[in-house]
Amino acid sequence: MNRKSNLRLGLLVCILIISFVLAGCSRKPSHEFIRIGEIDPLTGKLARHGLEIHEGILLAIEETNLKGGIKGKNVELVTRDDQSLPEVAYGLVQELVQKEKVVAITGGYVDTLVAVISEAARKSEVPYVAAASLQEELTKTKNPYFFRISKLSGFLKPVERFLVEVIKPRKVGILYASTPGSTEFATKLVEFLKIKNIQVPFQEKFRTGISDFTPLIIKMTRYDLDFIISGGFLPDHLLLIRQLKQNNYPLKGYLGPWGIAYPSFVSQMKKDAELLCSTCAWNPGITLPGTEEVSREFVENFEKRFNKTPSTTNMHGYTAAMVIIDALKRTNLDNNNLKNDLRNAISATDLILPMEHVAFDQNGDPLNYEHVIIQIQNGRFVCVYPPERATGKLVYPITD
Amino acid sequence: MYLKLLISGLALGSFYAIIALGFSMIFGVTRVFNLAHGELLLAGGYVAYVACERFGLGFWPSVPISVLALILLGVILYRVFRAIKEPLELNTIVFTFGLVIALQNLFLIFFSADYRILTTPEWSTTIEIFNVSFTRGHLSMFLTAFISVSALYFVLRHTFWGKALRATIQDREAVGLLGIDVEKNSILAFLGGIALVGLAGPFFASFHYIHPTGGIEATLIAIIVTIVAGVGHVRAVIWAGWGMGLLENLVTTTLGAAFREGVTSLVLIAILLYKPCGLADNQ
Repeated sequence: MNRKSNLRLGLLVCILIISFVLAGCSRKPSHEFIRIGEIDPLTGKLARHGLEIHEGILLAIEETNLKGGIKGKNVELVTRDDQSLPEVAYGLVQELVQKEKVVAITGGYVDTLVAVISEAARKSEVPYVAAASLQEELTKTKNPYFFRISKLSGFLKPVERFLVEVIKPRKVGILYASTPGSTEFATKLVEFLKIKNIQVPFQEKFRTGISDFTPLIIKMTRYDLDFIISGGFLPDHLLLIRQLKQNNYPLKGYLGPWGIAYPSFVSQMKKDAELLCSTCAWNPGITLPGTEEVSREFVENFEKRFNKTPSTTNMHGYTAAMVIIDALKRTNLDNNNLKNDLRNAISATDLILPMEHVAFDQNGDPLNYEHVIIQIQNGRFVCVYPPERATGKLVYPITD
Repeated sequence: MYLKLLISGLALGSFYAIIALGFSMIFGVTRVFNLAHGELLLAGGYVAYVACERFGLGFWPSVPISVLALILLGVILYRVFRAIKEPLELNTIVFTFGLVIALQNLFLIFFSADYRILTTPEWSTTIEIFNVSFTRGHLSMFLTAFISVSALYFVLRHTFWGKALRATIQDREAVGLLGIDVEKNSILAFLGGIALVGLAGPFFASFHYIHPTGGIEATLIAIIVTIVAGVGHVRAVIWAGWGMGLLENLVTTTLGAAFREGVTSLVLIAILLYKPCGLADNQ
């Protein structure tokens, strides 16, 4: 290659670099908008739940903008797909903070993804409000930028009380998925049941997405179990329940804390979903006392926007986004240290929403996140525990 | 209890065998390493789902519909694969990887990210044969696999076309020199393999569940069973499928579900160390 060619090549590289830099500048956010970042699994294994959280967040942002935005500024949502892969999620935080100049991040489903986003948020010093996270370890790291609107004990405590006060079983079987949250849930539940002298003769860990539960069902038939708790997710329940029926298992009672209280589960399982129990923090018709009107408004707006009934996961997304929006309203938007001020405003949150009265402890854990126990009766979710919120009577055992 | 385990293991293994047979035939004859095999299986499952849930057809009528739909798709795919240049194995890996992403997104657009399951309540009923009770579901799966594999085995062993196909798998150039139409064999093997995927699709939607990204595992199963059996060996594929189904059930029952994949993988690695060209290798 001669000298002239080298010069031309150098010139071309320079032009390209300048073009990229200018392109980057032109993407600089407008001061008319407040940018909130969202990282969710929109494709990959967790896409279904990620999309649900995204819909909830989107609705919260759109509602806010319709009402005039925050202090006259519209909110812009910058959404990124982590493809259900933690290694992808980590890089997206840096992109959202450095390139897209977001003031806070929300979204996230399951702890493997939430954990890496929260760590990256700490490094980038940007507040992150996770929409769905359980593992207790995550908030023990004292990450000042990490907040979440859910926690494991919100599922665990009502299940424990429901078993002891209502079901009163002799023998319980526990199946759980090999995810951090499900494993922690099962371990703590077993410890609790042992203290209460309730036998747990059957405990099995399985990989979520397993294709055949038949050997486990055959194994379960050895024990005369009074109640089965399954810490799997929606697809695991679809398969397990189907195979329990196909194997004519004498099922007395079944509770899956995750994945059952969804309209899509009932529509897929049809009659097989009847009398199964689950937990939920919110559902249309099951809302925090005093928030009935707000809940109804949310359902109406959601149905109008997405042409379907909202689920509890939609509400998780909505709640997480509303926490950031509420905190932004209490923050001086022209402050040079906006992200830090926003962090302080989030930690001082005191907001009543249909799913929970949101307030955080010093670790970023929600103070008031608690589920109720529901049972599917005639295709509808009926709240059966605690008694003060019950909308119907529990049918137990199923086989009677 | 062990008899029940045996039946469910054979039913699971039969399913593995059907999906692996399609992959094995396509790869053996056309050298197309189809990473989108699981997505094609999902396509069959979605076709059956639409036929059953939207048009109210039963499970069995949905099976030929799925097979036909997949054959039609296969005709288009075959034309595309023919346009791919050498090195074929490598280029088809890249192409089918792209096809995986394209199909996943199409499923996402048309069926959303929801999990779908085919409702077949009649499969929970049991039938007693020689004092042993089978669920209709397990029996249907087992018989479908057994009949389709037997038919394929008969064709490959006892017909001229089958023998030509086996010869094509072993040495394409030599077969061409003998005057056998390699191109025609390739089309038939490709469409035959795709038809098997179409046959397995409705079973997948009924025994398992379908969602846009649920094909990867099926592709892996097809690849593993094919490698363990040896490419193009029909009998070995069904033995490998049954072996894998039974082993998984045995491990789950004795050691627990957490050990299922680990122990199965170790056994498969051991088999490949002992027989690197697969179970059917006579050397």
